[in-house]
Amino acid sequence: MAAPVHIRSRAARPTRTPFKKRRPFRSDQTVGALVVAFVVATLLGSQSLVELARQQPYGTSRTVSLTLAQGVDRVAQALSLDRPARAMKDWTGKTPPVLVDVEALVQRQAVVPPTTASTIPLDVNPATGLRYISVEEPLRVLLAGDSMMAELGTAMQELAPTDLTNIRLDYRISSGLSRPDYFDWPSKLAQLLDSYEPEAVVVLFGTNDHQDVEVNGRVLAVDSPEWLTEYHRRVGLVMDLLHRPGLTLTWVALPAMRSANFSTAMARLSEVYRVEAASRPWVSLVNSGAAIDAADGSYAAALPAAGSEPVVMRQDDGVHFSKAGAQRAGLVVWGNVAQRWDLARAKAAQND
Amino acid sequence: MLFPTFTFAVFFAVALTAGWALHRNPARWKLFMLGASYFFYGFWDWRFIGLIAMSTAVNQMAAEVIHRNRGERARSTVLGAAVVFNLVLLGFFKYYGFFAESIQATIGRLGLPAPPLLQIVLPVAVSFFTFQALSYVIDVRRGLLAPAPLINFALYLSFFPHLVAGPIVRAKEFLPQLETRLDPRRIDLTGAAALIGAGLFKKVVISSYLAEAIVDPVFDQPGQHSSLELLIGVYGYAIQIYADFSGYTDIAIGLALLLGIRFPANFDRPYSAVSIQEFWRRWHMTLSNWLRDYLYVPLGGSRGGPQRRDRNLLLTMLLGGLWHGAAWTFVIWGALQGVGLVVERRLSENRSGTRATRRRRQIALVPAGREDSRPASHSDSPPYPASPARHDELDDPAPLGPPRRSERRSRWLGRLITFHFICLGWVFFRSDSLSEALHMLWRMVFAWGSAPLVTPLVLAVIGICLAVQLIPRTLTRNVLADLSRLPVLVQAAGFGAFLVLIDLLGPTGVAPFIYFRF
Repeated sequence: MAAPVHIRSRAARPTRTPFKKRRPFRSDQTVGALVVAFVVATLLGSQSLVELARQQPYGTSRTVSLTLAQGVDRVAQALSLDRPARAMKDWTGKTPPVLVDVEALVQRQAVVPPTTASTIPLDVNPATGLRYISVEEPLRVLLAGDSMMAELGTAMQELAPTDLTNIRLDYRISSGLSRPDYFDWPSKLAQLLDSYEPEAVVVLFGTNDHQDVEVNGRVLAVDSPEWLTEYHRRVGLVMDLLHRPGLTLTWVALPAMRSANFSTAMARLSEVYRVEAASRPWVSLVNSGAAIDAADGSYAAALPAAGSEPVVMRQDDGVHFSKAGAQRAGLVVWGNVAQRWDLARAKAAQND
Repeated sequence: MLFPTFTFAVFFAVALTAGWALHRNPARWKLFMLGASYFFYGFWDWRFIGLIAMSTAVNQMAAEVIHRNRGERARSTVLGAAVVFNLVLLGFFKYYGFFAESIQATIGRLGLPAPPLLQIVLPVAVSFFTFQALSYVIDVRRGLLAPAPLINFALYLSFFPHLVAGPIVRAKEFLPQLETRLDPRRIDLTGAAALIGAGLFKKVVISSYLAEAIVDPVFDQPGQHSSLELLIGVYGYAIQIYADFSGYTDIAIGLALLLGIRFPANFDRPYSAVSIQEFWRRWHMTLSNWLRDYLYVPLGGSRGGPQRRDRNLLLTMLLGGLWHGAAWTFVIWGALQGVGLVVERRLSENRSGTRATRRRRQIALVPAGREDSRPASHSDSPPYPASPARHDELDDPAPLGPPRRSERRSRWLGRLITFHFICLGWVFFRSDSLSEALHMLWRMVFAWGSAPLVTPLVLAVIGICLAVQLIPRTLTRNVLADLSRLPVLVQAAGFGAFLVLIDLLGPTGVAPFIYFRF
């Protein structure tokens, strides 16, 4: 009789691992629990709540929210409930940045122009007063602005020669010059001047600026004469802040927008940039609309490309650049930077 | 109105409180929930309300006509008209630009008139509610469902927890819940809070961190990053899109649970899959189910032999890819998945054929009753999950004892190959164009250099998120069951503190969910 042949088989366990059942709750317990969670979250995170309320557009809603949030924050502070969150913010580096007194800084700059930090002897272009760019010391470029700068900056990074430039793209969504309480660009730029020491700065602001501003506790209605004066002052302040020997500033004016009202508002802001730049020879104003608007300056969703097929220039929101639009606008803006810094010469020298 | 915002928290607090206050009167409850859902949708753009109301009216009318009509031909005609209506609605908003650009590029050179390039704002949720409306009308035509009262159907289509980015809840899963009175004594508070907390953590902390730290930089400028950065960037995107999308559906399922409604599960630890087929049983399960029932099966499914089945599979995945977006990158992504599934099935069939022959020979030598009790190969099963399970019904497979070393090794190998195949697909899925995707893949091999973006924290986040996929569901369920026994106040306070922790670890401001644009 033949010996039985066994197939190696695993011992099957038919039953599943038992799991415990969760305890159900009543609807009143559920609602109550969420109210408690809400209260705990608002008390522990009272600081964030105040920041959130502060970021709202000026008006009754903001005033009410801010009053309520500050009240909660006071209670939290009295009970020391805000401490863990504050400690955590310190640890994660989310504490609000220390603000720079930009006006005082600009005044000081006007008296004593700072020297560049570079210690390498520089070959200077006598026509422009700017140093010649080389692979050994590439051009330090800062691209700063609101969300419009995200696409434009990325396109410019692709256009710039990597070995001759060192580019830093710093954009902040929903930011601008109207709401320093949300994001203080002059202060940020002042810090970047010290930490990064850029030589070519390109800025783009405006799409979030058509709103009320606050000056010494007084809210100035958007488009009012006082508002316009204040906006002129803020633009001029940034331009003066970026006036340093060996530094160029390229200010990007906004293209037309799909919404007629918004487009008119942005054109008004671009006019402010034009007027302020006209009296400051170190500022070069570049109109991004020249590259992506229709021939008559109106909004164009798409434009013919080299092969004659139309290419979409703007995103679906009718505001932001599409990738192709950003590349076109980037060519114009980067062309300005490259020309001022004579990058063609640097490239030729590199090829030699 | 994004889920992880204070505005939504206030909105939901009102909806929850009023919802349970009205639950004894179903008519009022439905009316209130419908109003809240329309308010939620109109918060993006009030014009969207007109769109969903129109879709509701037309699909309900079609369902009623189909139900009342006795003639097969007339029923099919009305169904056809409803399908065309839904596809035109979806096509106009989602695909017009894509086709107009493609046609422009093709016939523009010949000087022939081409459709104008219009900028059409894609209404959020249109893909999701259109698919749900289609499932309703088709199920009525198939006799699986009777038309629901208008208010029920309107609420099904617009119910705010699932409206914007799913899960794609089927009419037969949702509508019966509106027929029965909500039970205010059996709310899974702990489960809901865990889902919402986990979803928020995945979205606000993990997805945002990976996007900023590595994914956006490498995909925006692949030409400026080294091979290692690109590779880790793709791994990072695999985690980011999972955290983002599954985070959204976790929150949606949790919110619905608190309101007394149960949704099907949409994700089940997809990166633990050992095959592409298994991946698609674990990833966006409600879409996979939808595609199976309303596309793969009507196309013929696996009837008509392996070649017909492969064709149907390819077509289904191709259209599934196109559902995600109007771009060639999505078409390639879908095609890649289809080809992957077909190749895997063919290989599996070949293997099982060889195994069956060997097995037949062996069994001939084994006395009766001593055969191997292991289940047969998966090759006979459909490529999609059999039926959608509710989130709390998902379970680990019954353990079959410790696997052999060779089996363990082959499972890990399968897992590794599947993950990398899926990552290859993500390169096309995330890239702006085909040329960029190919450029990225080329650089991934040939652009060696320093990798400053690959930090220990980035690697740790990716590694931990992958490891978490291997945690058995039983363990999670038992931990949650233990937590549910804590006093309700302790649970509530813990949940509140966890929300603050998420806020502190996350960035300032939250980007919209990735799947909002699909």
